[in-house]
Amino acid sequence: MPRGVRKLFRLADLRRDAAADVDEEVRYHLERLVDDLLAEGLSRTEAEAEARHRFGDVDAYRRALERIDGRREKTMTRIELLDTVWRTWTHALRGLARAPGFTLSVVSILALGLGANAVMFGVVDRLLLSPPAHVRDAGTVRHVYARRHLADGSEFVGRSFTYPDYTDLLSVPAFRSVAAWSGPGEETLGRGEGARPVRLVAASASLVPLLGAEPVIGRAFTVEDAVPGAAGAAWVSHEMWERAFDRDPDVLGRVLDLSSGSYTVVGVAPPGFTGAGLRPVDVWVPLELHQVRVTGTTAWQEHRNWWWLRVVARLADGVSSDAAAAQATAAHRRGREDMIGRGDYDATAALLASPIVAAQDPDPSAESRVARWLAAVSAIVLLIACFNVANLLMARAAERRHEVAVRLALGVSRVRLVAELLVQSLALSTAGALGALALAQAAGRTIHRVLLPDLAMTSPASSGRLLVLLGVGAVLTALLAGVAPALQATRSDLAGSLRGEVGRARSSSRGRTGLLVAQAALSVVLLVGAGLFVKSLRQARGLDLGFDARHVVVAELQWNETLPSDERTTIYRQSLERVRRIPGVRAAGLTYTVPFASAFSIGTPRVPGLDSVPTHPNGGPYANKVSSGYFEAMGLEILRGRSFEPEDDAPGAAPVAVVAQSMARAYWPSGDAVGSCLLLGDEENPPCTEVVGIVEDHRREELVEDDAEWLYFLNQAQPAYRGPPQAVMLGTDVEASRMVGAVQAELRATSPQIRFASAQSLQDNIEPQLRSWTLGASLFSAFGVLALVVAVWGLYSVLAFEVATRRRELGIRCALGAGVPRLLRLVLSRAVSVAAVGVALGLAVAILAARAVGPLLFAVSPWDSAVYASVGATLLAAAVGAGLLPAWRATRADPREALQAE
Amino acid sequence: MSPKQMSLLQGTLDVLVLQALASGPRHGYGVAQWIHRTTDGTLEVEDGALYTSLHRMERRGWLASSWGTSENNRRAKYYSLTEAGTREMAKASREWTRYAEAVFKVLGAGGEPA
Repeated sequence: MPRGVRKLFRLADLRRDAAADVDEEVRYHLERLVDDLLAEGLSRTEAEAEARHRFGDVDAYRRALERIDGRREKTMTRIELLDTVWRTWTHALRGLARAPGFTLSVVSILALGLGANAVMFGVVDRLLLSPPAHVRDAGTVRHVYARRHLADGSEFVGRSFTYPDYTDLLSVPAFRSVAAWSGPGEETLGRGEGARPVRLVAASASLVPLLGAEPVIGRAFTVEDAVPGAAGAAWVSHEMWERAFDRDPDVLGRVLDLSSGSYTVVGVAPPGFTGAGLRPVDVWVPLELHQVRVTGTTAWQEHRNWWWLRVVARLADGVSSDAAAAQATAAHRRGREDMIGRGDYDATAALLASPIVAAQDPDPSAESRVARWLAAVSAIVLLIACFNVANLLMARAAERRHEVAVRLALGVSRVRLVAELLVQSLALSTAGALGALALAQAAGRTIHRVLLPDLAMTSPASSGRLLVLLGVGAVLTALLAGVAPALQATRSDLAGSLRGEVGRARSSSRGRTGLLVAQAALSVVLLVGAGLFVKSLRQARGLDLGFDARHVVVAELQWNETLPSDERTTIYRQSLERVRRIPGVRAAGLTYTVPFASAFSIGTPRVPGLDSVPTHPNGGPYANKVSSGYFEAMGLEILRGRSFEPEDDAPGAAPVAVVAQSMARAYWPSGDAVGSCLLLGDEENPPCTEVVGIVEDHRREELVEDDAEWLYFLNQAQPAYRGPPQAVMLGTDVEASRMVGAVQAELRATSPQIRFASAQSLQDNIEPQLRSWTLGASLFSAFGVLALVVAVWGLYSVLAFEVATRRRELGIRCALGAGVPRLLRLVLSRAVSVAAVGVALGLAVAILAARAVGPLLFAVSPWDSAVYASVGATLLAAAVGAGLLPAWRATRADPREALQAE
Repeated sequence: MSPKQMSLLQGTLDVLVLQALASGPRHGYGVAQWIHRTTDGTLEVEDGALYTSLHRMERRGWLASSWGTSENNRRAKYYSLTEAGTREMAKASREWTRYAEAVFKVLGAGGEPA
């Protein structure tokens, strides 16, 4: 065992050690004394006698010393270990307190690096690693999915089930309990001015008991509450209880006036409860009761083509997932026997019982894919932070070389010194972790809201796992950033250091340069990612959709579910007249489907004289029913013929159609679409729907389409599709979002039947499709800029340090006639060469890594030269910026100072 | 020599040793030389007693020791003040000064005519 380790921990053979130590100490004393006396001119015999005389009884003293030491060794072993630890800590902390600037920059860099990871860990933990809140014994809860083959042979994993599919599973013995739910969907709470949307889930009575959530007040609803015709019971979220009811303890019995009817509050959910999903929910109501109220029928109980439910189950004791899945699959196929027999359903369809923790989901959501990226990117940021801190520690170690050398000379063991330096970096990273926690608290919620708005997030610091992560992160960071500098510092060569030599700084500066290059390279990688995503986002936003979504308001009316269809149509028509008069509204029209929100298809229309109609690879054609003013409101151009006129809206008007360009070209290749007939429906001889115009192609629900979809529009009088309109579209002169308030007010005033009028820019319907790029762009940009700032800061500190330690050399150069430009060049060229190597390395890594990002980009090559070039230029410019101040200082080096120091 | 006197002498020696180490770490021989030099050799004390003082104070935690290399390039045991040692030195020198003042006062009083 090296002497130092034994010294540090006082292990083993202490007694023998003590005797030997005393021996050696006394011998040293006597020999020195004899030497000195000899030098004074005494003979050796005289000198030895004199030394013994001055010392006293050597043997007696030696025994006394051994006794003292023996007692000490025995009683102090344990205390001394504690004492050593304590002294190491206090010495380390005092050292940090003496360098507040250094300490502050290291702690802030670590706080940023660890904070970014803490926030991202919150996201990853929520999305991937944890079950939804308040799920008891989550290990035996399973999401049920169906894997089946579609008509075209492709396999897909579906999350949705029909009601009879759900009831089929109730008798599966491998499941102790099964529950179904639909939503969250939006309903309106209250009426008139105070009305507002709430997120509602309709759930089977078994859901809450299955998950094991305990209400804060009251009870969950029961099977009796779910019977069609029951009074209506509701469970409200803890958040809604706080927000809407002011934590009223007497909330039970209050009546919620919702669009689908009134419900009495019977219980309050525990805080953060989101059922078996992760999206926030305000109100839970009984599934069957709600469905009857909304649809007015019980047909859904038998319907096997209406996929509207998600299913969750709890395994019976001791049953494996596979066994449960096998039993569920058998029940599923049995329930669909008839359909399978008719060839209407995939005979090989299988049910999967998948853990409720998303990381093991067979079909990861877009958010969870994003979360993986988040984790990877924030880890890179932490790595950069570590490199930077290592660099600062090395610079500091070099600064303290003299002190370290002296202490080594005084016999302070190297292990002790290394331990002290490590303790110092541990103290720094602990402070950094605390800063990170504060940062995660302060910024976490905002970041979650921006990045993942559809997710219910609990406070990040509430998670014990986060604390563990930060603890582990702090220790790893301390080791990663501290070991190399500590070893390097204590390897220092004593004589050289004491003589004040600076030449050795060179070899340690090689390590620092390497770290700087690595930081620059990682920053380049992140910035290239940022560039690619920002460009994708810009391309996607710049897409020509055929209409300008930023100047279109979509307004939808909400009413009681019981309001008859024709009354809804009447109110929509009345409101159309009113909103057309709002100043700033160019045009307005009713529509039965909303682009990027809803669509319908009513079979394939036929054309007289054509035996078979052409088919589009992506399905369709898609129909819509619109009033006059719709095309004008959307800003769509009529290419041939005419648009719908007010006469076409009147009840009893002749059925007419407007066809989009691509469909017109496919159905009437000879170009005679206008004036031809469309035959709708399955009847033998349907009436002719005359095509009166051709409208330009535009997007219906996908931003990105290979082939323009086939769309056609029917006038309102068309009998082929009944039911009320779904929305009013308004073309606006100014940005649509600025008109929303005025439109809502005007709509509310139209009829007391309107419970709530929602209005938003059509662009809001498109945003979710842009989210992956928005996310990528904001994420990579934020982290990229963070990385750049940290890397530039690191470069600056190292350059500043080098200039400071090379003052003497610079002064001599100055004395030898090096001019200001030459000194500037000396420092700046170092900055630029470090950055250039980093850029080259980073670009190479980015080129390799870009392949993985490729599928996430839009209309941008992962090797887009403009992005790579501008990132490279940015980094070089930043490096020059970082070098300016140290370079200026270098030019101020005083030759006199250098010469006097010699 | 009675125990009381003994402890007085020991305490005196301790103050001297602490004082010797106040300017930085030294080995035992260094401490002996320092005392010899600063007291102009008037204080006759056995070198062995010096070492018992060093070892005793190390046991009490006033001093820390470690092996290092001496100016003539030999292995030597160096002693340095710990925080407790520094505190102890301040306390001891205060007490010692007060004691010395008291003695002077007594001697001075006895010297004046009654």
